[in-house]
Amino acid sequence: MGDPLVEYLRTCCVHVLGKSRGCGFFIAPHLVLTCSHVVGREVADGTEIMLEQWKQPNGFCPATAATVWRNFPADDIAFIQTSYPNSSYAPLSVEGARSGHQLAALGFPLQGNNYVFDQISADYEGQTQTLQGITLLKFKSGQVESGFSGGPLLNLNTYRVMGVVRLTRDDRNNLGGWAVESPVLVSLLRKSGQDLPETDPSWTDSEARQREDSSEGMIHLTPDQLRELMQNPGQKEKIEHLSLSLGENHNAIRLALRSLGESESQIPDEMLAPKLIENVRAWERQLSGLAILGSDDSEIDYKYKQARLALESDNPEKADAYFGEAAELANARARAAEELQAKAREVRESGLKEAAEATAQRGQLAMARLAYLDGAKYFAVAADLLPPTMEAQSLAYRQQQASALYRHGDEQGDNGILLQAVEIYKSLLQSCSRDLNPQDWAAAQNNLGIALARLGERESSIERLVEAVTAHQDALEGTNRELVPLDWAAFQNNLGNALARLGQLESSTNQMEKAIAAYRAAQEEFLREREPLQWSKSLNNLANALRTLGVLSNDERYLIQAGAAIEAFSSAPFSGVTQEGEFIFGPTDGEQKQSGDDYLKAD
Amino acid sequence: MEEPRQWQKIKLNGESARQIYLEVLDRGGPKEVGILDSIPFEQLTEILGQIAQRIGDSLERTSPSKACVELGVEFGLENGQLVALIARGSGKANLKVSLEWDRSEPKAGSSG
Repeated sequence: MGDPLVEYLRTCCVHVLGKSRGCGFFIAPHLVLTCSHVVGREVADGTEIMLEQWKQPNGFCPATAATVWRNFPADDIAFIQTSYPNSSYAPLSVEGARSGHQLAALGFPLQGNNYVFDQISADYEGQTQTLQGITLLKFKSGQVESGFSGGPLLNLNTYRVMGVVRLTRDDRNNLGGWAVESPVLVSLLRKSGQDLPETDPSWTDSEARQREDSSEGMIHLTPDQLRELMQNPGQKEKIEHLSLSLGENHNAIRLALRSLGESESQIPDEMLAPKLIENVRAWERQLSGLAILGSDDSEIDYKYKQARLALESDNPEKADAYFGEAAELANARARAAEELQAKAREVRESGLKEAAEATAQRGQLAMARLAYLDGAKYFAVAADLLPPTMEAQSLAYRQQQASALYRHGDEQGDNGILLQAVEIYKSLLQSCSRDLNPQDWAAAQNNLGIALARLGERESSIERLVEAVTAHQDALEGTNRELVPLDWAAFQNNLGNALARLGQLESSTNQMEKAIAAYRAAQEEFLREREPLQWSKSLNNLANALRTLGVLSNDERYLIQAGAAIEAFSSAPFSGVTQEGEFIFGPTDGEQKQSGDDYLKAD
Repeated sequence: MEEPRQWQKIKLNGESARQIYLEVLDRGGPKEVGILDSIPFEQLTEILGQIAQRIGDSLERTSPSKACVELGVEFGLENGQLVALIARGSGKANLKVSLEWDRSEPKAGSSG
C-alpha cells in the first residue's frame, strides 16, 4: 500500500482525451484541471471533450463527455467542466514548499501499446524563469514520460498539490521536469470568476493518515536513540540523517531537539517522532519568517540580525532577549511618534483657533457694516474651522451665524433666511446640554422663540407662533430668576410678545391676557430706577397689549389700565403716540415702530 | 559517444481506410509530455511539397538542362507539430545535387 494521500489523489484524476492524451485532476466537484496542450491549444471554450476515469482492477471506465470551460494556451492551462460531480478533489498551494521536499506526480503513460495509471517520485528544486516572463516549477529525480502532462504534482511534505506537470527534461531519463505552479492556476481560476472550494474533508482525513505514516517512516531512530539525541543534540551524523529524512535544515532540527530535550521524559515513546516533526516544522517556519524580518530602523534591524545569529547558534534564549530589546526600541519609537503627533495636533489646533478668530472678526466687521449675510457666512466658516475639541467656541460662532441670519431675515423681510436661522437654533439646542449649560440652553430657546414669532407674524402662522410660545416658556423654565433676574424679565417680555401676536392673529382675549401677565412679570424686574430703557420698552409693550385687549373685549377697564400705563410712560424719553393711537418708543417722528421689542440673547 | 537514436511511430490521419504510420525521430531533451497518437496526413504532404517547391525554385535560377536532387528527410515532433529534418541520405552528404547543362555547338555546313 502506498502513501494514503497519493492513493486519494488517484481518485481525483482522469484521463483526458484531447488533441493529445494526458492527465487531468479534479480541483472542485465539477472542475478538472489539465494542460492546454492536452486539450489542444487551438480548441475554443465550450468545445466538448472526452474524459476517462480509472477504476481498479478493470482500468478505464467508459469515456464521458465534458466541456472545455476555459482554455489558456499561453499559460498551457485548461479547465474542464463536468456535468457529474466527482466526490474527491485536490487542494492547490505552494505555501511552505522548500527545496528538497519530496514530490509525487500521477499520469497515464504508455507501456507498450497500453496506457497505465502511473506514479513518479521527484524532488522539488525551485523555479525556472523564462525570457517570456513565465515562471515554472522545477523538479528533479523523476522520469517524466509522455502521458504525465496535466497530472497533479503533490508535495508530500506540505500535503498540497503544488502544480500541474507540463514538461520533461528528457523522457528517457530520470531528470525530472517542469510544472505550472499552483499560484498561476489559482489566479487563472479567479480571472475566470471562480474561487477554490474549501479543502475536500476526505482529503483532510487522508492527510492525517499520511502525516502519521510519514512520522513513522521518516525518522528511522528508536525512541531511545531519539531521547539520547534530544539530550545531546550535537551529534552531526544523526542530525544530517534527520535533515535528509525530513527535508528540513540542520538548524531547525537542532533547535527542535533542544526544545524537546527539556520535556522529553514526559513524552510517550509513540509520540516522540510526531512531536519532533511538528516541532522541527515550527522552528522551520520561525526561521523562514525571521529570514525576511527587517526594519527601517537600523537599531531594531540590528537586533533582528543578532536574534537571527543567536538562533543559528541554537540559542533561543539569547534570541528572545534580542526580540525583547527590539520591542522596547520599537515601543520607544512609537512613544516618540505619539509625542510628535500630540505636538503637531496642538500646533494645528492653535492655528485653527486663530484662523477661526480672524474669520469671526471679519464676521463682526460685516455685522457692523450691516452686511448680515456676509457676517453669517464668516461665522459659519469660523465654526467649521474649529476642531471637535473646541466645540463650545464653535457653537458660539454658530449662534452668531444664526443671529446674523435672523437680523437679515427680520430687517429685509426675507422669510427663507429667517427659516435658516430657526433651523440653526434648533440644531444648537440639540448640541447644547440643558443640564451642563442651562443659561446657553435658555438663551438658544429664547432666540429660537424670537425667530419663530417673527416668522409666524410674517406668515400669519398660528402653528409657528404656538411653537414660539413653547420655546419662550422653555427658556423661562430653564432660567433661575434669582440668579439672572434681567434675563428672566427679558424672556418674560419676549413671551409676552409671542402671546400678543398670537392673540392678535386669533383675536383671542385669553392669549392677550396671558401676554399682559408676562409683560407685568417683566415689569417686576425691569425697574425704572435700575433699567429705565428696558422698563420703558416693556411698559410700551404692556400698554399696547392692554389697548388691544380693551378693543377686543370692548372693556373700558383695560383701556383705563392702558391709560395708566401711558401716564407712567409719558415720562419716558423719546415716547409718544402714533396717529393710529399706538404707543411708540423711540424717535418722536414715529417712523421706527418699536412695539413688541424683543431681547436677543448671547449675541 | 552519441546516444542511440530513438524512433516513435505515429499514425497519419487521412481519408484512406488503411492505417498509415510515420516514424518520427525522438531527439530527447525537454518537451511537453502529452501523448500525440496521430497527426493529419496533410501535415506530411505540406512539408514535402514545401521542400520540393523551394529546391525547384532555386534550381530554376541556374537553368540546368537536367537536375537530379537526392535528399534525406527525417521527421520529428515539436509541440505536437510535425517538423522536417534534412538528414543524411546515401553517402555522407545530407543533400546531393547533380546538374547538367547541354552545351553542344551547332554543326558547320559542307563546302561545294
